[in-house]
Amino acid sequence: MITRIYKSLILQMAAVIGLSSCVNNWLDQTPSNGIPTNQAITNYNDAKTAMYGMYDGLQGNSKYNEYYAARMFYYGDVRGDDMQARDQGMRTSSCYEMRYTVDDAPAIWNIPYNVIRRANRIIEAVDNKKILDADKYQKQIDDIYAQAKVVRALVHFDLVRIYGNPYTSDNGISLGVPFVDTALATDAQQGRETVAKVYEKVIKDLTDAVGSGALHKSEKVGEKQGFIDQWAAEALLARVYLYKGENELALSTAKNIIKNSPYKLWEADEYADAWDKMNAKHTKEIMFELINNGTDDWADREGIGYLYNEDGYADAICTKSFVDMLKAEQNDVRISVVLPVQKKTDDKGNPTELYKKYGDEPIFINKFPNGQQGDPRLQNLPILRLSEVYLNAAEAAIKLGGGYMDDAVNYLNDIIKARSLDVNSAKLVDNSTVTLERVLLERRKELVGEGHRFFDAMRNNETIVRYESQDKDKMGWHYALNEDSRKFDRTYFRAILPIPVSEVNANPVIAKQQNPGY
Amino acid sequence: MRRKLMLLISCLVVWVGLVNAQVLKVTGTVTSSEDGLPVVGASVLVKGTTVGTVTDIDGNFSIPNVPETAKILVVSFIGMRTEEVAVTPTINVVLHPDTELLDEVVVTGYGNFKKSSFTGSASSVSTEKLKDVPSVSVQDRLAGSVSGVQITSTSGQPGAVASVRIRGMGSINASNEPLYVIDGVPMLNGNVSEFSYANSGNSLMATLNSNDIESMTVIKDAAAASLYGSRAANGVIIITTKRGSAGKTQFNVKADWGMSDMAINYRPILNGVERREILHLGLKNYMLNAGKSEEEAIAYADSRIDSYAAEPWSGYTDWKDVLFRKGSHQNYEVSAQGGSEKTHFYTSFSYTKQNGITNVSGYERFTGRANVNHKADRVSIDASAMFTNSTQNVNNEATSFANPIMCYAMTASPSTFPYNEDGSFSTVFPALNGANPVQTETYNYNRSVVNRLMGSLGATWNIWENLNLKEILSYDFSQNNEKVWWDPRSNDGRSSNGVMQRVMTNRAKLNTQTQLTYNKTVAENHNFDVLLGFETEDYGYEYVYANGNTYPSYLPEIENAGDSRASSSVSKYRMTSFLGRLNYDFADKYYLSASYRRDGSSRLSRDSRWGDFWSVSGSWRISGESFMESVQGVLSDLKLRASYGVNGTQPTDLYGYLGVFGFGYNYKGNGGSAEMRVDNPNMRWEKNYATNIGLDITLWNRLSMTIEWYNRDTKDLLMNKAISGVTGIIDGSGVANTLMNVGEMRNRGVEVELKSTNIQNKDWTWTTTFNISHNRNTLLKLDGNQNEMINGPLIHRVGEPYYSIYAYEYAGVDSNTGKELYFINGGKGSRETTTNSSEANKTIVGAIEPKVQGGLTNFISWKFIDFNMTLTYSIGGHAFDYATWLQSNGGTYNYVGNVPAYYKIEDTWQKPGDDAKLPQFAYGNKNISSSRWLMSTDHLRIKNLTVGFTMPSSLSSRLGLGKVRAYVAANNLLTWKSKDLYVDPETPVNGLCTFETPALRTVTFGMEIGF
Repeated sequence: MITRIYKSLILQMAAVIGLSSCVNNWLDQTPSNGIPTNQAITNYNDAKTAMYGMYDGLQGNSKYNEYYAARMFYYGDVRGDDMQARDQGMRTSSCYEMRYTVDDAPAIWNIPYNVIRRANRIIEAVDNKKILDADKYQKQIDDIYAQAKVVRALVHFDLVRIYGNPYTSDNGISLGVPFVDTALATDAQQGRETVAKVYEKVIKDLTDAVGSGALHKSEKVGEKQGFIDQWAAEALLARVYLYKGENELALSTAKNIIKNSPYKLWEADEYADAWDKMNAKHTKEIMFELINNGTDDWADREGIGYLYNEDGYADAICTKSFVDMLKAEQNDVRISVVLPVQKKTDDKGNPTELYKKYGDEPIFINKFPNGQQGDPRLQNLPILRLSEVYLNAAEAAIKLGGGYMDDAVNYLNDIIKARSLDVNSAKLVDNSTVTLERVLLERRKELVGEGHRFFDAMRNNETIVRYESQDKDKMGWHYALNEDSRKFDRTYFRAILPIPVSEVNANPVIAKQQNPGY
Repeated sequence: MRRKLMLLISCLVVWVGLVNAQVLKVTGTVTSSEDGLPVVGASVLVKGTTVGTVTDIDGNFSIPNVPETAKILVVSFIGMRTEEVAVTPTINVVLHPDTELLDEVVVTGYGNFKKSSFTGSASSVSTEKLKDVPSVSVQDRLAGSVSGVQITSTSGQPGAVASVRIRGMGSINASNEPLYVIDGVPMLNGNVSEFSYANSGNSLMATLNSNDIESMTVIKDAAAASLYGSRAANGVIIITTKRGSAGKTQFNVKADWGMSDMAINYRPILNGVERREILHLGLKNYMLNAGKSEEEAIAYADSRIDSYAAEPWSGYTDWKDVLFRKGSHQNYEVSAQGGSEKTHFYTSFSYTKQNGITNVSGYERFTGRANVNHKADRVSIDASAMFTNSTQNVNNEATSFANPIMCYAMTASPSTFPYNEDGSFSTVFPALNGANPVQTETYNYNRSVVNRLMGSLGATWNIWENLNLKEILSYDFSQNNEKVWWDPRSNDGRSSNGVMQRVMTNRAKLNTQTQLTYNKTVAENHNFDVLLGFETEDYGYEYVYANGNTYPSYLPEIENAGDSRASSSVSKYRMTSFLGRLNYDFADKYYLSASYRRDGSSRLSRDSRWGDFWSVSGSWRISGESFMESVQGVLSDLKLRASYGVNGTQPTDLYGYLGVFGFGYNYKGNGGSAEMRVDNPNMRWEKNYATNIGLDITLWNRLSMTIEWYNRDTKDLLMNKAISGVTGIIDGSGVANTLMNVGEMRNRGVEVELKSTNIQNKDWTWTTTFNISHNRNTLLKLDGNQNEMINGPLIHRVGEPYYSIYAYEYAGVDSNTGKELYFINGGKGSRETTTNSSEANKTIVGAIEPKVQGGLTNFISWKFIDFNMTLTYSIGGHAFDYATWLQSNGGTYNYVGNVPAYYKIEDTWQKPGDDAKLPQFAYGNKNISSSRWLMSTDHLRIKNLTVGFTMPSSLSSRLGLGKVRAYVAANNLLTWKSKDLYVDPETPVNGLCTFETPALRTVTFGMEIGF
């Protein structure tokens, strides 16, 4: 009996002691879906995978839709006078109505900084020599490194345009955004740098990448579709110079691309169909686009393609004033990428609500067409396009004046010709008729739907007028807006977004640096 | 020859005498003290032997072979107190029902204790009286029965997950649910639905058949819970299922049928005509505010009104009729129990079907259970197995276009209509982008089939005297097979031409427990009881997801889809524990108890993995003292007890401490990786330090009262600390935060429970149970830096309850302009008001937590009628109407959608100088969140009501049956609530109400036959 007790006790004790050493091992579990961070980027393959992850961050998804997946596009469109939210309660309505307070303002903050972090992880891994087979793959690693720098520059540039005053308004002395160049710790609290400082760092990243010679210099279009090559980096640099007012550098950079890159402007007869990514001519002009690859790698119904499409949310349309302006020039092929209502009647032959309201007027931007795949959500997101490079060149040239007028005339006429159905009756300009307004007008017609108008207007101190008065025939398709949002320029406090309330609550340094008026 | 005969006769005599000297024949009757009727099937045993028998249908028994040395007979029957009587040739034994007062047994997985000797805080719920309640969820039977327990539900859809809070909320990011233990084994529970289209989720607890439950014990303090260590910070609910007992086999058949509808009048809205009137007024006011003249304003309103409030061809639509229906409830059950002294069993099989009030929602369940106990020589074996197959259909909730609740309350106005004149589905739904809710519910579905198997096998080996070794092995497996189908003809499915999503998840938990127990009495009065244990837990979760889209037909299976994709993942966790406990008592008067448990979890890094949890408790049975003997007649029991202990909670994320680069960040068809989580090696257990002081008083053996004061400090709470978005560290929804053990919270309160047996005699029984509890929740620390965290209208501020509402303070209507007024609440505490919300400062306008809540239960029985009613009440709590789109006094959603019924035109402001209740209703107004939307959740509700009629046993025994009973039972029968509250008072835990399906009121009629 006693032995029985002792036996069971000893057995239990032995079991306990024996087990406790291998218990810890038994309790170690690793997830099925990840690699511990300190072992993550240690070779070329890892760096490449991380680079894809970085582009994926730019592309976004249905949850991360506040940046290029959707909001970055419509932010620049519906806050101008060429596009508008179709009705109240749409996803684009808040940006269009500009009635928000600091608590419910739209934000483009967390996702961009997340993309910056992904880029910084790659940059740091290379700088800290974590990549063990770097010697074998030096060229490829350098290319990845340069791409990461360009992406970092692109995102900071976007952020400073949204949250800081235009550089040209006060030479960049007002506050911009924090510039991040390392993977910060969770308790970091950075403050805002001036717009000038941010531009300086952005330009440094871009010139480093462009000058390093590591970026792939495409010789044929579409070689690096979806990724940044030498020409895309230079196109971005030209844009940044233009926004900064460095017109000489903008012009020379743009000229280099126009002369030496393989990209060419779409012809008028190619224009309407070339927006479909399956079209053979698509990559002729597109220098950098983000790829929506398939139904498991897209932003689904939160993507800009679905928002702008009639079959999708039909969220935003062109304004009547813009459509009238576009239609006025009947030779202009660009009216073909603005579609009227397609679903005119319902199953029983009665006119649909949309058709009743808009009739046969063209309203829907078709730069994300249904295309051959039949789904606007599968279209790519155009970020840098050759037309913009031409327009940047023309704008920089005309601002410089003097000996540069010829450049302005030539580049503007190139665009006008390429967009005229009948080249011979195109209304070209010459040194006496070319003006900045003419260049800006052409820019509006060309870049509508790509998120540029608002930023261009702020940069050039234009006044945005949605509608003149509340009379029914003067309002076009707009609905009633607050007076201060109906007509405004860059002195309006809502012309820049407030630092998001989530950031202000978590970051006391930035809390003291909120934009005025909020 | 004669000598031989003499020898034979003398031998015979001696032999007979010997036999006579050895055994005795005992006969007798066993009756019940309640009704004087015979107790059929009572067990009569000779104490310490296996000699005995069972009473017959007249309550008579006869034992022919009682040894002469035997002194005591043990008479027992289920539900009645066991009696020991002295052996006499004829005995009449009277059995008394277990009055639940002094002899209440507290069942813990680590031993059963009499309430009188239990040092911790625990309350038992007798489920016997609640067995007829028509509800799918087990938690509904707890409501109002135990003090300190608050039960809320995410939604009224059948199968919805219920939240149980014992003594307030202790954790912010980890679980706040108590641990559920069934027959000694911790069981998996929670939401098993993989989609979040419906807030209700699919509750794993709903797979349990409530009628299998014998009793539930709620353990509230650290001492009683500390043996559960790392999962018991929020209390433990111990469920014991029926085991059967020795005696004749009893069969029981039960069936009930009934109807359900909404328990309250949910969000009433204006009908078509009233809505048209007020919208017209709003358009007119919009023009008047812009400076137009009265005629111009009316002309404008006349010209625009038809685009918002025109009467459809089918007349103004009452969407309540179209989208809701009367729910129904059916339940059928067969059970059998019985056994001998060595083996006893319980088995049951039941089918339940509950249809909800929306056209789609419903829950259907088949459950079977078998429990067997067998006692061999030194080993006793307990085996139980349960299998459930359940099917749940749900409708979308929250702000999905397909949510019928939101359609009724907001987005489907009376001017919209379901069908066109030709019978096709209408697409005129301005607030829903054309999505017709009737079309959606005709074609789409969201269905989940859960199969659950719980099996356990335990053996207790009596090694020597009072040394026992117990081993339990259990396996809890559930599989959820869920499908969501969006038909190509519906709004959700149109753009992809039909989408089918299928998920299959397996959850399996293997649990082993080894316990060595020993008890000894030393020197007559010192009683010791020691327990040593070792436990392991191994949990695995597998997830497979498949998605098909682009359907050429309406056949939903993915083999018919034009395009498909799939995903899968696996996660596991393991835990190992060592535990020990020592109980000591002296002469049944002084009790002392101490326990210790060490847990190691795979969810934390190796350095922080092990947690130590312990407790000490003691009690003094004052009534056992000699100086109390004089008042024994009045004060039957007086006990003072105190306990202090530590429990813990694990983080919810199984791999949260590990910083990883994840995959799936794909681009252009290439696999991409990015940081999925940042390293957190210091993440550790959340700890709960609980103090409990209680006083138990029993007067006249019929009134018992328990008063308890407790303090629960939870520390090292895992907080999603909002960090700067500039770091780029974001979670899956794009919010910048990281998890750290920084928070601290306190729950402190008082609970009082009263149980009284008012009348107990042959004809009448009346018992009352009343409980009331007050809990104050205070947030002590957030993350050390911040004093508060704001999350929409909720604010978590140090020094205030965790869920407090932060909004502008509403000051009524400005009689000059008709706009809403807000108190500025500036620095000097001034009470000036403004109509411009950006000039006002937000402030804490109320807390969600009620001040006082509890329940009152009355059980009355007279002859053959029994009546049981449970009332629940709550005072001092709030909810916040978070359906901001409805609150705009004429904003967008009032024009394209509905207007709440409280907007009576005569109450709105019309012209300057008006002293109006409601602001001016005008087109273009915007909604501002203010304390105007804070609603009081004070309510009194008849939670459960049962009235039963039992056929007199004389009649039923003539039919050859045992007990025949018919009953009417109701759940959520009547609710008295504040006029301002237009949602169900059992609001979600955080108090924010949007469009949850309201709770069901169910009334059923049933029959029960035992034989």
